[in-house]
Amino acid sequence: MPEAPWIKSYPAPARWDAPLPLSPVYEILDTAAAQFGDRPAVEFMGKRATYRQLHALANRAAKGFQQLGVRPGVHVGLFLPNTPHYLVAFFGVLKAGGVVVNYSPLDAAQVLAHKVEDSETSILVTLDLPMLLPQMEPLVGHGPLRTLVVGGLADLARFPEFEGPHEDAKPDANGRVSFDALLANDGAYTPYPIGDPAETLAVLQYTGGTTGLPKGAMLTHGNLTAATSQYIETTKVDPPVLIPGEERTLLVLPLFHIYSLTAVMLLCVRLGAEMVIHIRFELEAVMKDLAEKKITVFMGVPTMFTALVSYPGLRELDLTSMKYTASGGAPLPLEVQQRFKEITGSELNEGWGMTETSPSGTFSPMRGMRKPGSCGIPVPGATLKFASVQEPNTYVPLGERGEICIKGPNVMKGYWKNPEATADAMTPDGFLRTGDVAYMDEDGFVFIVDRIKDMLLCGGFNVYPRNIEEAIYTHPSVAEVSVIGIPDEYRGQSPKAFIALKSGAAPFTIEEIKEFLKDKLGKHEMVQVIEFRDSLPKTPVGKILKTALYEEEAKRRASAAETATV
Amino acid sequence: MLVRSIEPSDEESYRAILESTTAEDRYCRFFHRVDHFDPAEVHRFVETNPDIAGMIAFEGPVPLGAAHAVRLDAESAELAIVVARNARHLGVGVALLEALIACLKERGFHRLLACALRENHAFEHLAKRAGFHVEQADGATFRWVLALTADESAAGR
Repeated sequence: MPEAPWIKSYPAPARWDAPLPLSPVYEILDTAAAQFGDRPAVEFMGKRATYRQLHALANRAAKGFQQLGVRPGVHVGLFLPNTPHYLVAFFGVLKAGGVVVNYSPLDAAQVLAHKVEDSETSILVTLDLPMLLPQMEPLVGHGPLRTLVVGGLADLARFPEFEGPHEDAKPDANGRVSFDALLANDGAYTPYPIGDPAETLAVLQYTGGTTGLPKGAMLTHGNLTAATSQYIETTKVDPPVLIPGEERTLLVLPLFHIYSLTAVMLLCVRLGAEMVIHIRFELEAVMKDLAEKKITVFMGVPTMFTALVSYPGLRELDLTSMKYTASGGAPLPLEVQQRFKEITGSELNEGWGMTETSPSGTFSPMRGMRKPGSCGIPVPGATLKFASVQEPNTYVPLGERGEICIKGPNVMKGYWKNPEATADAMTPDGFLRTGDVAYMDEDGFVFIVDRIKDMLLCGGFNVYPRNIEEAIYTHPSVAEVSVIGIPDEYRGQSPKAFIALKSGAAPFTIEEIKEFLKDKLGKHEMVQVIEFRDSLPKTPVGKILKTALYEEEAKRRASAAETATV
Repeated sequence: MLVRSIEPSDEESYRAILESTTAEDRYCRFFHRVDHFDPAEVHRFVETNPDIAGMIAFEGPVPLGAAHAVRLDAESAELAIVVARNARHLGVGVALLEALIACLKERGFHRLLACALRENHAFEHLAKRAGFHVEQADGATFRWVLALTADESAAGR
């Protein structure tokens, strides 16, 4: 393959070989506070904090965490929705010397228990919301989890000052300490030198797999600061579009997801941008804020942009303030991309990446050459090669299809306590195997064509059919089950289960199986459609033929579409 | 180790091999979760059938593994192989596959195909050693092919 064909497609002044200095992640906030101290950093439910105030809260959280025993090597879980608590706790943990472990409120109970155990989370920050606290309370004292730091939306009455008497943060008899108590100090925490940023762990970000329980991707301080710098570099154009200290974003992607963590939170803190935080995606509220608050930077997933361009009152809204928008998590339908440009006048940028790449991988240049259907060119400092699908230890020439393999400062250190999975994910020359099959054209643009993992993309989340099959199989009436992805206009894909029942067993409804599965599957991976069969299609030796199920489903849809159009 | 053609009297031994496997082994074998084995299916793989060739391996009275090839068409058959949990890394798979290939050649088959999950590295190792190559990569699975005749090899099929 010719050496780095993408370099010539970099629009000046962005450079593929731009320096990407590695540093402690918390220095991003320190620098923003020094440069943009009086600028608004966060707005949430009508309350605002400046960068100086956010910085002070992070310092107080750091001291509070240290009073609870956080130091290098201690893992602190964040089981939080999008509220200011996340930002304060995230930077606080890192400043205290600890490692952040992200937890998803969408996860099923058994996955949460696995993550606590596997990650060795000893302290966890959460809110007293019905969907959060009751999930974690039973895990305290059983295994590594000893302390819960519990906040609430009521805390926001005291945000951002959190004034009160100083006292040491100390857990009660149930292992609980309030978020207030975490901040009840002067912020004079003890800084720890982090050593080599490329080696020192900052975040354990769990990611699913085709088999077994999720694995913890070890993202270092260097990975996250490099990824942030990569995003900064890819947004450089002449004249500049993004002006440090002048931008405003709407932060609605979940912060426990790597896309939101890096491409929204860290990028925006680095830019000194104001983050208007939404706890969840509610279209009406999002549209109102996009227009009224003159949002300039907005990152989302295709599901959000599909909803946005279909919004009934769109014509009455002025969205021309949006200067930089990007979609990730799943392929973006071309018609949505085009419609978005018509409405806002700005390009909707698309990229590709994954948890293990922190998550940047490719980006669409903001100016110059763009190619429909492509997820863009490699981000600064990242090299892509394409491994033969048939012979994974050989690379294919430029233009041929192969598994994307990536190397760069943003690529994870490995999987936590799982050297076997780490070795399996790496090529002999140190590139990460991604599982996505693509080709690169002569200009360095990447076109994704297939996936070699049995994985679905549902509303921007990776969903593994095997996990769903395993959960459905535990139903006493089920003899055989196979799950495939079916097209979903809104979520991209949805899981559909084909089920053969045991002899004499009565069929069940989709509502009944959802109720049965609610403790076993996350909300994002819940099966949406079921179909009963006497038996599932198999090869002569008895292997289930998923390809036959996909083909049958495609034929049925094509036939339904024909019927609808005659 | 004794490797011989499977017989109807091997039904319990074949069942014991299947039941000794891990959930992961069974997923690799059947591409779905299997905890209970349908007696009719177990029987199908030990009965005398012109469209199925089967081999079984024993160490003394202990069954170690079984390999089958089921006819796809006049010239091709599909491979399935299973090794008991405690008999891995002893060369059981290699011995079974060699015996099965010899049997298929005798019966006049030209090609042996195998569908395997991409992540099934144990089979990948075995297949490469026996001379299989990947004919098709279909998402999460590979279709491996072994030419059983010189003509097939020459044709690169």
